[in-house]
Amino acid sequence: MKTIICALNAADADEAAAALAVESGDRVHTHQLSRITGADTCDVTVTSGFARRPDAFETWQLVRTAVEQMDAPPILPTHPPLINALYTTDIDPRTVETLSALIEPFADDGGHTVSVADAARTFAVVLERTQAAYESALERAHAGES
Amino acid sequence: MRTVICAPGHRQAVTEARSHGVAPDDMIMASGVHRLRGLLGFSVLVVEGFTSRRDAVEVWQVLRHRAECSRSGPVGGPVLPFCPPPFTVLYRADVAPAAVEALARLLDPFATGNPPMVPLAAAAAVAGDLIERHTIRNASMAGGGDGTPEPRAVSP
Repeated sequence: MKTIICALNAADADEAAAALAVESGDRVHTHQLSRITGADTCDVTVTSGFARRPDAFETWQLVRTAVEQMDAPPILPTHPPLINALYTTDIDPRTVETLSALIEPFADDGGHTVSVADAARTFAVVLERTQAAYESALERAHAGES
Repeated sequence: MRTVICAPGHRQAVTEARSHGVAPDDMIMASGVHRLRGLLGFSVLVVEGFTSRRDAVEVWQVLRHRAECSRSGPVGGPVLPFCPPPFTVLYRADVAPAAVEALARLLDPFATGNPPMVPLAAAAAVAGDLIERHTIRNASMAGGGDGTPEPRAVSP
């Protein structure tokens, strides 16, 4: 999967790409956005240092514009995040559907938005439980090996 | 932590409570919700089918009131939606604040208004990716989108 890397500088970009195991040929730096022309989709990763670039906002808008041309674009926020973030379409639709259903009871009258606090709290419970189940399964697997 | 179980029947309540790691001594059946007065800090487990109970709405309103009172105490209480959900879900009072904060940071860029509101689809996609990577892929590395801020990160 081609991945646009929004980073502070080349070293920061390399570190982020390595952390996500993005192969060299799939790395698209923000000055190479023409390389994703014609692609159906891509990932976008942002480092926490990206927002410190003087041209962060302008660059982010260019990335958003480039991604919007795709058939299946990842959902990007209007402003670049101040933290490490990955935006991808490579998510099981059933996962998204299930998580949407979990926060829907907290939605406003229109049913389209939910407060950040309610969503974060709900997902934190799921994440903790998922992590605990995963670690427990790993322990059982290791116990079975020995 | 003591947990109120909202289930269609006793059998379902016990089964789901066990699968959610609720100890038998910590279980409080929804039929006893009126006796919750004074209880500080509790979680709520809703089991699919609860909404079909005739007293579901009444029980839920009492629970919401108790949860709100509990949140002002030292132990804290769960945040419950206006209506009981039609699926199984656990609303916990003891969620790690650091986890909530990290997730809020990831959701904030999508938010507008005050209080910040985020589209359901965007929130679910962000959390879905995070959960998949925490279990299937590896989210613990820098740049991996785990919401970890760098110490020098500043507002642009």
